[in-house]
Amino acid sequence: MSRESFHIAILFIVLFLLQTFVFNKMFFLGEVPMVYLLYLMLYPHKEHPMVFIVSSFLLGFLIDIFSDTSGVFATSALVVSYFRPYILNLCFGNNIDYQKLVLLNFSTGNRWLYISLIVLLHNTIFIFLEVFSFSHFFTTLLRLLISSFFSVFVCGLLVHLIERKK
Amino acid sequence: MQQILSFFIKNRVFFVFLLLFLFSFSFSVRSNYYRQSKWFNSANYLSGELYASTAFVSQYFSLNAQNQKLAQENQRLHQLLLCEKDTTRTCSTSFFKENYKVYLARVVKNSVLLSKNYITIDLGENQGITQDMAVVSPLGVVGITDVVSGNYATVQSVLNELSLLNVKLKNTAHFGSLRWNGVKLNRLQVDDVPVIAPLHIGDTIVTGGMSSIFPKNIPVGEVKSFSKQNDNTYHIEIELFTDMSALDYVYVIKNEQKQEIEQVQNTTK
Repeated sequence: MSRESFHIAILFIVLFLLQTFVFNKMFFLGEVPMVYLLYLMLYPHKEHPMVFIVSSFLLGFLIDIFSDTSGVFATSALVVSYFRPYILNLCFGNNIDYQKLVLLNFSTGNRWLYISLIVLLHNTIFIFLEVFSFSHFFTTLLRLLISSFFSVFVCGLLVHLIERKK
Repeated sequence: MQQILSFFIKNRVFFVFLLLFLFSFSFSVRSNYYRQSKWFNSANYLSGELYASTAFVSQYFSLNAQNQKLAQENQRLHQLLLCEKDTTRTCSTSFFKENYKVYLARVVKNSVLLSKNYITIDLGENQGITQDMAVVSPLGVVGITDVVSGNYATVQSVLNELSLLNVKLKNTAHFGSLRWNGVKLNRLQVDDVPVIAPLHIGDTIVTGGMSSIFPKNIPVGEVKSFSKQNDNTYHIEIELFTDMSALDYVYVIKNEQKQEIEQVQNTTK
């Protein structure tokens, strides 16, 4: 096991525990920050895409089992992981293919855009799949806004913490 | 053939994505069906144990509030006892004893933020818990047991859009049905109460006891506002007595005559 995959495995486990046992109990206006999305943000993009997709799915699925959400986390994590290459190119340009993915090396604006896009895509799928009705559309939309704002904020701060440590 | 194969290999990431997507999507759409399997919910052995150990720590932080709730309940029960001695109309405690068995459980995992919330408690099959038993807190209703494993069980909270409970007005015994629209914590809706029922803000809603799950007269909540519907019924907004986001000790109530009641009801149909 290379050093890099060891780091990824640690990230996987730590984020799983953090999400289920700490952040799922933290409310901000009734919404939970999606901290486990850091895995989807920080996974090195040059590693095998297949491993990335399958591991993201598994992470979501594990959290699903622990939170009784039956497949909602898994589905949203999977979709985000599949579309991440496009988001990467959109935020950091085509040059990203030749660089290492260290978010702190990019400009602040691009970094927050990247985090926001991933969170927004994830939370849109998550909330609409979880509610599974359009009957309270505006309440759902408000939920989406609050939870996205909260998640972006917490993830953005944690990125600093994690990448500085390395 | 070669070309088809190479097409699949070239796009293998997409096909794996599609496969997993269909799997998890069908999973989330037919959530109720899959939840019944023993593995895919928080009552399974691993998550049960993990949640129980984290709850063991976190429960220390709410000891004060829990004590207060239990003391309040003791006060209420004390009052009931006094009422039995003083009046000729005895409280129906003897009836309660014969038909219902009460288990004490602790909440190890709670959720209130989704539209379908489930709670996990630390009692399971080994302690005599089965599916569809009533769960109440010291202050009022909480939910109904759902999936049961060896030592843990999940509870379908009243804060779950799939929950439907028979309730009545405490003073007049007019029946209605309790639902949650998924919008606000601890704020539930009661429908189907006929407009002839005298209704005031602040009235107490209790369980109706029409199902074989909940006993009669367990406190549910207080009327906050109401409006008339076209079909001559009230739509009532109520506030739960139990704060669902701060649960610790709960009681699971087993109706010993549930089978008999259901049997009779089924034959009547």
